[in-house]
Amino acid sequence: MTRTEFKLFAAWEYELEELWLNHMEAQGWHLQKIYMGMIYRFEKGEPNQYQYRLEMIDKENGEEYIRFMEEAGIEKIGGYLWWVYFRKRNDGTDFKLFSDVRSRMDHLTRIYNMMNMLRILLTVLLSINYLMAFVAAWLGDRGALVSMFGLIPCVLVAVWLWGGCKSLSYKLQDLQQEQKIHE
Amino acid sequence: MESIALTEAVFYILISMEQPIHGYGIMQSVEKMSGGRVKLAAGTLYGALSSLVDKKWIIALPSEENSRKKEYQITDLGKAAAAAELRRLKELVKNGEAVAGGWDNDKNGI
Repeated sequence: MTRTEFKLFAAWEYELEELWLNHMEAQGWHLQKIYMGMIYRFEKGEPNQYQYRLEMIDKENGEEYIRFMEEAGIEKIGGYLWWVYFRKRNDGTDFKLFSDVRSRMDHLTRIYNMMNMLRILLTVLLSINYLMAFVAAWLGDRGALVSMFGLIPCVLVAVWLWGGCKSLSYKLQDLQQEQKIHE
Repeated sequence: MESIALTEAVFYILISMEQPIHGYGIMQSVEKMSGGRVKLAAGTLYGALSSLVDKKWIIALPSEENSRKKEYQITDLGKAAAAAELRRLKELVKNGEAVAGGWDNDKNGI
């Protein structure tokens, strides 16, 4: 028996996504495949066979990394863009990809840098567009301002990205705080 | 030699590779040495190994034809770093023992 779910998670919500996948597993739904990071195919089986973790990996030595993970019994079941979906057979211990504060911070920083780049790119592009529209309107082209309404969805995406970066930087601050005392 | 403390993960990784050892071997060896307390996660281990190779504290040995597993071994530079860390830890233990030695109360479960 298989089942397909459609679900959207933002990059900064990857922990929520892991939680959901592990929750599905607890009901016997094993993740089989992921399409475009939002369509998930599950297959019914015995519950709690696997545990899942997500990581945004560094593409440069990605293949070597995946091989390294395989050695440790961690299997890549799919990926999308820079994201990799890992699973490990449930041996009763908590499956984690990172065991200290530093490496968790490195991972979050990787996600933050990517999101930060996207939000800046989008903000700059939008600013140029709006600036040109205002100039055109000032020069007498009234229609230019009206056409800018079409970009509102992009503005919303930019705001959403800014919010995501904010939440990532809060998480990073918490870890930084912890790092002052613990590793 | 810089005097910054090594992380627990790095120290354990260094002292687990006197003989050539592959990634998963390090995880097992560290867990065993620490009596099950230190469980290195694979992502953390990989990151630490890459930095240690960059620092030349360890080397990645050329892998054999039929083996996909990469093996690592500590260098003299790495041994010096681990020895320096050991000196630092001994100092911590000595001073800690003198003051906090009497505070230890395992009954508190800490």
